[in-house]
Amino acid sequence: MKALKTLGASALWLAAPFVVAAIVWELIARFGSFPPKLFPSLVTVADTFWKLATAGLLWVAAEATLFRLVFGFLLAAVVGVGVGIAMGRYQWAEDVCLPVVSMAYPIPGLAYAPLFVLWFGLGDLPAILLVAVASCFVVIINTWKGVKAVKPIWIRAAESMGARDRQLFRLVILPASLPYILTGLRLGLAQAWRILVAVEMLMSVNRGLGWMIFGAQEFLNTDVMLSSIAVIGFLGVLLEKQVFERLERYTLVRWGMMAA
Amino acid sequence: MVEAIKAHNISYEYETAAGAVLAVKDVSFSVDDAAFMCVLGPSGCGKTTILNMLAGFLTPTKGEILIGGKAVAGQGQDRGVVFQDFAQLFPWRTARRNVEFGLEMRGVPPAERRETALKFLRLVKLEKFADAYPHQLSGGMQQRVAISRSLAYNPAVLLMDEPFAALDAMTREEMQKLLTEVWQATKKTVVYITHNVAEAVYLADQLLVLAAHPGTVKAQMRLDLPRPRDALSTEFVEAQREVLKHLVH
Repeated sequence: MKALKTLGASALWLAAPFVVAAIVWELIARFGSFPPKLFPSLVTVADTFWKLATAGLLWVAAEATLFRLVFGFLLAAVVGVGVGIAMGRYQWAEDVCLPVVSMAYPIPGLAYAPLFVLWFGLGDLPAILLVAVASCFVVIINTWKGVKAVKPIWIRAAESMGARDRQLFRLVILPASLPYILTGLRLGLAQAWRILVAVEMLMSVNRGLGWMIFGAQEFLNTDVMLSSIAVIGFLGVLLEKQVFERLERYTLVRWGMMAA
Repeated sequence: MVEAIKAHNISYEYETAAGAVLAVKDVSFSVDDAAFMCVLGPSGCGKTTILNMLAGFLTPTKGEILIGGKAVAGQGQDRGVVFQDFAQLFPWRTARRNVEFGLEMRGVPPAERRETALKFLRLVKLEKFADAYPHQLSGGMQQRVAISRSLAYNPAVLLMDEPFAALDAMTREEMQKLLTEVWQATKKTVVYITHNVAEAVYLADQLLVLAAHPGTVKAQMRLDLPRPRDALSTEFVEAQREVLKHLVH
């Protein structure tokens, strides 16, 4: 009974900010100066969301977006972690890559979009590549810093027990720099979302959440736009909870390298 | 008597921004096989530098070190190292998997590795904590895991750099007793760095007393008090006084 009570209380706390935001939204929608078509009531949005979901349109869009996101991000993760580790471990790799990475890092990925269209045409390929390019730099930088931050005593201990290059990488440097790598991957994924939604608006793909938002603008379908935005939010939370937090609990928290 | 370790006129010079600093100057000593040698000295006497040269982390700028008759060149599995810092254990591995590390490097198959690791955890009375992660263990327990980790792959020499300095007094005493037992059971040659006279007299067969700036040998002595040693006995106090004479000018 008591457990149920605390569960109820924590659910209430979790819901509170959303309830407040919803009330504010609803007040503006009903009594604000926007026409309802431009600032729809949440009831309308929920209704549209339901219609789009049951018609399967939302899932088709989400699927297309997730496909590009996952492939682009995985590419960025693999390349980013690899390059980052090499840079952290070998002086020559740092000397070669750091100037390029530092210069490319602050350039918004979207700046390359027109180039990629010219090079790779329209469709999934340029979108995936653009997502990969835009999100790999933050992964590289964090991995590189993580490798630099590995406690020297771990390397010393491992070397004194006979660990050499590859074993040192796999068994010491990789797990030791995981806190930084995970941070880099998180930031990378956020970057991937940002670029992808924008790219879908620009690159005239024929499906996707970004495309849906952009397409709905022409017909003043703000309810459709908001439904797509909500899906992006849900997917973001889902990836965070189901992938990153799970991974973190299984590694860093269990190892005492991060508080629960 | 066989000599397990022989250092011949070793010196070490650090390069700093202000120029070269001589940390260790013409130090020579030898350690008998299966003996427990303490290196005792004030801070700045280069005792950790000497240990790092024995471990192969540093190369002497002059002189030579022989371990088991072979010149030291870099790290090797003939030596085990225990550091002062509790953080030396790998936090991502359980106690048992930490102890297995050296065996893994040698390509020992998993089942055998596991068995050996458990044997060495039993030696430091931690078999119950085999599956605990380092952060779940106290400082003293972590140092015990570190000792069993550096013994598990069977090195000839155990190098210890003030392993108990960061522990509270009571735990430290327990650890000294346990280490004596472990050493007697495994018959390793031990080089143990400390700045604590009572600890040195409690543990050592052989004692190397250093003076600072630069690190030079002040005295070499042998202690043959019977074991287990009693820190309150007159002989023990007498031995401490003898050692102290070399430390105070």
